[in-house]
Amino acid sequence: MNNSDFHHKALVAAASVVLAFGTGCFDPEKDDEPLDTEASVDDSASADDTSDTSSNDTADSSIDDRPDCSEVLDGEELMECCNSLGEWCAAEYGEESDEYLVCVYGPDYDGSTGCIPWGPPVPPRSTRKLA
Amino acid sequence: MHSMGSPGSPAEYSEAGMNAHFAQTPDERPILDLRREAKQHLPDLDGLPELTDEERALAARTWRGRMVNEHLSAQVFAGLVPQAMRASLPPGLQAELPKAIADEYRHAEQCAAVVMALGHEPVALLPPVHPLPEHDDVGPLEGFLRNCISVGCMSETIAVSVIRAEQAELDGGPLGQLLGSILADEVQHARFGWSVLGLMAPRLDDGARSRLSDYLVDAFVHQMEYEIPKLPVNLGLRSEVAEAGVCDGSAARALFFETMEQIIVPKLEEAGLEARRAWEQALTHWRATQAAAD
Repeated sequence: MNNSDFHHKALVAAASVVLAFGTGCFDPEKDDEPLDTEASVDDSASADDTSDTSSNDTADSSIDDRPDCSEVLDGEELMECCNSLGEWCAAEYGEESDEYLVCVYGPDYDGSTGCIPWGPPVPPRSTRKLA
Repeated sequence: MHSMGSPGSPAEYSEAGMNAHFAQTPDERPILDLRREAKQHLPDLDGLPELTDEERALAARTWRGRMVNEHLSAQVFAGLVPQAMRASLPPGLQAELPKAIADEYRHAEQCAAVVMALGHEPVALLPPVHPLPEHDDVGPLEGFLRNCISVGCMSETIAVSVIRAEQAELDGGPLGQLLGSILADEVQHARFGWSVLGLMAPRLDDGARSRLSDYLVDAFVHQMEYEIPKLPVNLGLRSEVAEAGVCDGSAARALFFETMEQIIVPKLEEAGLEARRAWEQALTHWRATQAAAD
């Protein structure tokens, strides 16, 4: 995804879906609009100020003895394996910790291997004090 | 495992097949097992470049993560259904929500099929399922609009951008067609959000616009806190791995911010919301959080 052409196509695609805002109506059958033709996107903006703002999230490689249930085929064995995994993570991090959740659901849960999750998460609650 | 008819057919839900479909851990945590469904969608990955076992496992983990994420997203759209009804949304728009639910389930199966085609098992523990916020501090329409902005105008619009980039990169490869079909659905989900906002924005009074503008800060922060940690940088992967669907986290991060700043924020401003101010506040908050964590 380093190619600027891919980048441009991505922003144009996003720009095309927001066009639904202006119509005030929604035609679910009209799904054949070309994605790349209807909106202009400012390609000049730079993402330099955003590319170094977070830490590296590479996986922890020091937990080799953690049970790996991904190759278990039999349903009963799978449950046993998952239970072992839960116990291992609880012993390692404590059941109430965030680390426990990461340990149990880990890369299977958040897809933390280089790609943004596609499905929308549950929206947040409001934390603002409203008038 | 049992092979008793196609997935979803009554024959499949015989006594013998029940255990496979309703797998849980002994402490009743649900397991998502899409091995059976995956077989119906198996893509031909013969055209992929040769990958090491480690790279193949990395790609499988990515697609398994997507599988779980897409499956869980079905409940996000399902949660919007009663809220849309309480908000008296036009029935034609309400009817889009069940379609989105079905889309997300299908995407989960498609992602599971890639996991299987990569030689791994599309089985994972399901994380906790959280209900959508009701936003009881405001009326049903305004509450629905908050969730709709978060889901359609933000999450799904970002998804369109990221998937489009990946699809362009994989065009002509074994996964390009799959991404194209998923992208088409995500476009519809994003358009749903913007369409609802377009319909409702002119009807908002000053108070509602002000409250929604405040909510945008929470929604923007949530987007950054949810998405950015899942985009690792400097993994040092070979370019061939990208053809198996493993993105460049750095590029995706840049795309995330550019889509927010160039596309989403201006359009929310057009809706009469103080989105620029909210985005700046959210960025300040997020950067402070990052700095404190370092």
